[in-house]
Amino acid sequence: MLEETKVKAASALKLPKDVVLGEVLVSFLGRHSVVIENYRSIILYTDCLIKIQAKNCRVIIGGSRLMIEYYTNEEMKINGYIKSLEFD
Amino acid sequence: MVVWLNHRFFGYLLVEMTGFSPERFFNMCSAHEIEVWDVFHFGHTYRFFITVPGFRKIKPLVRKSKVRLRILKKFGLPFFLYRNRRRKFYAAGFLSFLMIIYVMSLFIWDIEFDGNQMYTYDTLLKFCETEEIRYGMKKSKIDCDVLEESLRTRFPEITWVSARVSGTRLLVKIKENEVLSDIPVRDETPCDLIAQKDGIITSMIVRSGVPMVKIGDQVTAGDVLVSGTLPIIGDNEEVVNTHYIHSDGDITARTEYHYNRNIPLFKTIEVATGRVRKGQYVKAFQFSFLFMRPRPEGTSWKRTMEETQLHLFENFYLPVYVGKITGKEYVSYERPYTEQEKKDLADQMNQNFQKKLLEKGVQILENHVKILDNESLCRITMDFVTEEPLGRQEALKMQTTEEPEETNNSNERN
Repeated sequence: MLEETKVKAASALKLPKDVVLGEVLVSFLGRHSVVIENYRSIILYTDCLIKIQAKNCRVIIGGSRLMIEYYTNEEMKINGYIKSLEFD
Repeated sequence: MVVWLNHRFFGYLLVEMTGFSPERFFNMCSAHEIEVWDVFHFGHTYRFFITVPGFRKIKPLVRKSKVRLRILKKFGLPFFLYRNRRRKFYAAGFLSFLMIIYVMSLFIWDIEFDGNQMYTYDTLLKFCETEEIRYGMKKSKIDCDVLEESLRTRFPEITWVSARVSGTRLLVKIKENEVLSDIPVRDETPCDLIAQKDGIITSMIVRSGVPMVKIGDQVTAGDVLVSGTLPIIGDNEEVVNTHYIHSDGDITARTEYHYNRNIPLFKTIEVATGRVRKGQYVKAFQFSFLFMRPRPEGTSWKRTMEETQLHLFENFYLPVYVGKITGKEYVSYERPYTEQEKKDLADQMNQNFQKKLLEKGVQILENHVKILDNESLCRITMDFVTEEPLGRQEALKMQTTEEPEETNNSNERN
């Protein structure tokens, strides 16, 4: 119920949804670098698969030679050869 | 940049991690705001960088997540200092370098004047020296306001001065007065006009004074041309009184100039052999050091030097000068002058003299050049017949003793 109101309010007021709803924001820079914002935690990290828990979903990034350049509470940057992005 | 400096200053580590749940460890790190970067998976291990303050805090996290850490490499200033703790002289050298730079920056190593046209650099520098402002003095002792004030009072033609100390330089900007500051006062002191040169008078216009010569007269140097003594002659043809006036007039006279120049019959010619020797030198205070190969015996060289003052930045000048020396070898031999060369030389001398005379305001009427050869010398004679203004003002001696007596006498009569 609350979620729905929030969604409605956000779209009515044209507020950015990533801020209001805490949705995950994924921005790619080519295929070698991706920045993921609003994530919760790292579930799995290997050099060919990174699984990240966001608020409502999981983000799975597949590729090879994946490397976390930096990560903070809100933001994470992954470099490497990215092959896929999946939601779970 | 700030992050980079922060990492270097406090130090950071490359850590290898193995264990049960590395992801949990990473999550806890971010929850505890411990900085971890460049994480990569490497076989069964994870490697990452962590700051030293962060590393001190992760002990409980390591226990919770059941991982094992191994430090692979240490970076940054604390480790660098620890590794080089025995190299005391290195540190001392570095510190003394900083000290020297700092001490150097306390003094003035260059004085620059800008905008001076009437007063030369040397004049201004000499004046500054009398004001106790000189090359190599302490910066703190300079009072720019006082210097500006004294420059303005000492040089009345300077209308605006701005002095400032920038780095190790004293920069003085000057604006000079471009119009005349005062109207020249007409000279009214009694004087004679005296001939400064021998000659024959060709024209005479006397505005005030008693002419003593006439057109066509031959005068010698020192003769009085126009006298400023004006005798008042009474009816009985006796001098009653004498007035002294400022004599003035335009007098031109035909004069002659004779010049002789002796030149040796043989000309020394220096021919460059094409061999060049280059060197450098360094000069600091009164010490200088030259890096140059010694010259071979029995050769002669011409040397030219180029000197520049070292400076770190635009305004941080140092009392160190670096110079480049270029030596060119030459061979000299003598040969007699050819006729053409003699003629050219005579022409050139003649031109020089003409120029000098014209600058003095002399008009040239005739110009003769002769080249006379004898056994030991070659003589170039130049004769000029010229016309020039004559008459130099010279203060005259006044006989003032007679005057009061005369007035006394006249009073008695009355």
